[in-house]
Amino acid sequence: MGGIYGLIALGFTLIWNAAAVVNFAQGEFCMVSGFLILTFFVHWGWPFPAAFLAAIVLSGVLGVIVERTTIRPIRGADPLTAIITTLGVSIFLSNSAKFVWGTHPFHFPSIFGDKPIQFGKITLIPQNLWIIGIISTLVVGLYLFFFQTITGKVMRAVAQDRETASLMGISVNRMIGMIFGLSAVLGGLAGILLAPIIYVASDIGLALVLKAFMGAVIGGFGSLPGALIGGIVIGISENLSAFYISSDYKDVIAFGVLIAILIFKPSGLFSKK
Amino acid sequence: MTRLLETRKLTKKFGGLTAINEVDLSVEEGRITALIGPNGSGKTTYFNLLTGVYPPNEGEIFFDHENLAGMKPSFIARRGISRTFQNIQLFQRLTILENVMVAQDFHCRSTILGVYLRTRAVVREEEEVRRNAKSFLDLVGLKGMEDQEARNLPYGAQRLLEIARALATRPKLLLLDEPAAGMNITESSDLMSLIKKIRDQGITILLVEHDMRVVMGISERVAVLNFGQKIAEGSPEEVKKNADVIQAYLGRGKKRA
Amino acid sequence: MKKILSWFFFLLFLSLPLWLPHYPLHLACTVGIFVILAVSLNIIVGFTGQISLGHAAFFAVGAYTSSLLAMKFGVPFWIGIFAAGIVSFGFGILLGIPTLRVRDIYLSVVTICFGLMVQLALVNLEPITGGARGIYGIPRPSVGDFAFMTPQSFYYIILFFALLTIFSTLRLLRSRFGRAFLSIRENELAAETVGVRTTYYKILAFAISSFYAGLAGSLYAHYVSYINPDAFTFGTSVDVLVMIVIGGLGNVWGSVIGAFVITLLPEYLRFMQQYYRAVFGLGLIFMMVFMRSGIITVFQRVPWARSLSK
Repeated sequence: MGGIYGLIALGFTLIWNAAAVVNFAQGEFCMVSGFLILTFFVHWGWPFPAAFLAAIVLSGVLGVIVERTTIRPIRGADPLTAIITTLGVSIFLSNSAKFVWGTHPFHFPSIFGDKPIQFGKITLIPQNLWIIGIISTLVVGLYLFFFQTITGKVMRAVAQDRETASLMGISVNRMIGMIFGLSAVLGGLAGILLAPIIYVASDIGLALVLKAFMGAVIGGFGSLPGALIGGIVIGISENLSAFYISSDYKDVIAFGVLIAILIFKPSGLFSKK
Repeated sequence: MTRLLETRKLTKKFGGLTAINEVDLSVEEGRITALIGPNGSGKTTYFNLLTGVYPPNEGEIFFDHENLAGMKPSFIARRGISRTFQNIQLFQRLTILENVMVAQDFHCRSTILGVYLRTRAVVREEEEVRRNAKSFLDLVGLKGMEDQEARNLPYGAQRLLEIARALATRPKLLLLDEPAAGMNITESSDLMSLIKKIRDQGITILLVEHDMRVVMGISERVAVLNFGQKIAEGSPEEVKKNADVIQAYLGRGKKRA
Repeated sequence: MKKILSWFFFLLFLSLPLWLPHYPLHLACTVGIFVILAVSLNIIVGFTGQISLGHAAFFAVGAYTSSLLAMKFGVPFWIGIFAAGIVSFGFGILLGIPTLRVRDIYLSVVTICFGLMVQLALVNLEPITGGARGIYGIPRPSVGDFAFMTPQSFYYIILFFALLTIFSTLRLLRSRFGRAFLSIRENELAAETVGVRTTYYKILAFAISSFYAGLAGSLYAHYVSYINPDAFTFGTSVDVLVMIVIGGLGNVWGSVIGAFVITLLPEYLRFMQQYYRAVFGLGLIFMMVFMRSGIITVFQRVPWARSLSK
């Protein structure tokens, strides 16, 4: 669970670093891909790998489209404008989803098996193992991408210092488009992984974005590994507090904690200092 | 002559860099004191420390026998220290008049309730604030443009507005950060008489300036900073002849005369 | 010229209940409530430059305070609405305090969380708030024997408070308080340097704003007679924010226009029922890209129209 939040947070942070925009629509990317894979796999009966690929690719495309049409024009405007714009995207996407797929939550069958495996005292569901596996592989893959490939390094450059990057001849616009695409893919992947755990519905976007934000903040806003770790922390604590305290209040507590952290330690746990 | 302002062992570090290093400086009441030094010697940082923009790492700032080190800028302003900024920090979308009116805010007594009910006291105070603002603008030479937005002003006028606004807080000590930057000979001469006029009204002035004509022309005392440390202090003539000072400037590049 | 127009509009709005059919009049009442919300939010966002996405919380607090006082203690509306304002005022101070340490994006998240926390609390505190079911049967206000049972009569109460809000806010903003708020918006550091106690003024902005929002909440509760947490969602906060942004930040009349537009738009676009919200999202994006300073700028370009900024 935490890993999934981490993914979303990662995409979120990427965009923030690159474009100084808080992407409220990040959660919608998850939602859309969840619906896409639902349609492809469940409704249309495509084989799983094909459906998976299609959903991911389309998510990426969606990300790029969003960037081109909405973010590019408002580059450099004040934070409030950016917030409203991404909110607008989020509203548009979640409501469009509503009339394409309806408002009822959909249950997504578990692909990796529901039957728990016993390891001594701990019960594990194969699904969760798969998720952790996928995410770990992804993290390694991303690490390699960012640090070993040229495109990855260029992306990091853009994320760190946009002006210098453009002075050095890097096409910043294209890069930011790609970064959005990548974030959308990450969000999409998260959405797919989430689908069997939570139902697929058009209104899950907001809660996801908030948790992603929490993760990003805890890990130190602007720090990529921090975002991932932060997401994991959130996932874990969310489940723990639901278990020990009270399921109703877990959100309230989470928000309270978030506010507290923002006030007292704005740079998060792994800040860039 | 009383010492209005005195800093003792004032120190400010940014990470590994010590921007201000144990600076002991005093400013006498009613005089014009200049703070000079090569670029990067820490003059603006010193101002920022004095006005509470940064808290110092060590040291004390005694103003009127009170240690202001580490206080918030609004507190320090209310105690009587006010400043202009080297890079203009006006309220861009407010009018010229409003820029100067808002600086009088902490002198106002009007309450919210009074404002809502539009009591006579409130109306009177509002008129008074407006009148005062106009007179400050008049003093610096910006008469007649009251309702223009600050951002539409030419650069020189903006600098004057900064001064008018700083004066509106009725400070005892006025810090001027490079007021003559970008001015030609005529403008800087006007500036010099303005500063003297302000001093004659009883306001103590500490000024940071690169233009040596202005410094030599109006300062009564000069202090020199280099690499965050005070290297000389005295009358303008003494400082001009001081070997360390000359070295500091020559060592860094040409000295502006 | 301006005077004639003002009187015309004033008399027009005064006369609405006499000739407007039932449903549009109900809309007018709704618009009135949102006018109050929009103008109040503008104090924080447009004038003091802080971001607040949790305004629905104050709306809710006002509504519940007034309803509970009326239902459980039989407090008459006229006192209840005032109490609602005061309690919201307190909550405003509560939210104001964290905002001191936090800027921009982080601030938006803090305010969102605040709004959500209040909503969740309302759902969960069943014994007091009636939980998800809400409170129903909230009485209409009355003076002596006359009860304001019809939309026609209640309209006047709403009109009264809406005008009160608008004009008192205009007056506030033309005073030293308004200047102080604006200075914080324009350049917080410079404001501090000239002695403006930004801490105090930021909290004050939140508090005053929430006072008005509380009034609106009370009006809402007694008008529709039934409230539940669903009326006070993040979406509501967003709506109010959108109202002031498209109307024109930092302009009281702009927020009035914004309130009209956002409340009435779904009605005019009935035929697009399903797609409305999606189009709304698109519209937001469009506005941000092309008309960022709001609708009021249209008025400002026409020379004879008043641009009552502040």
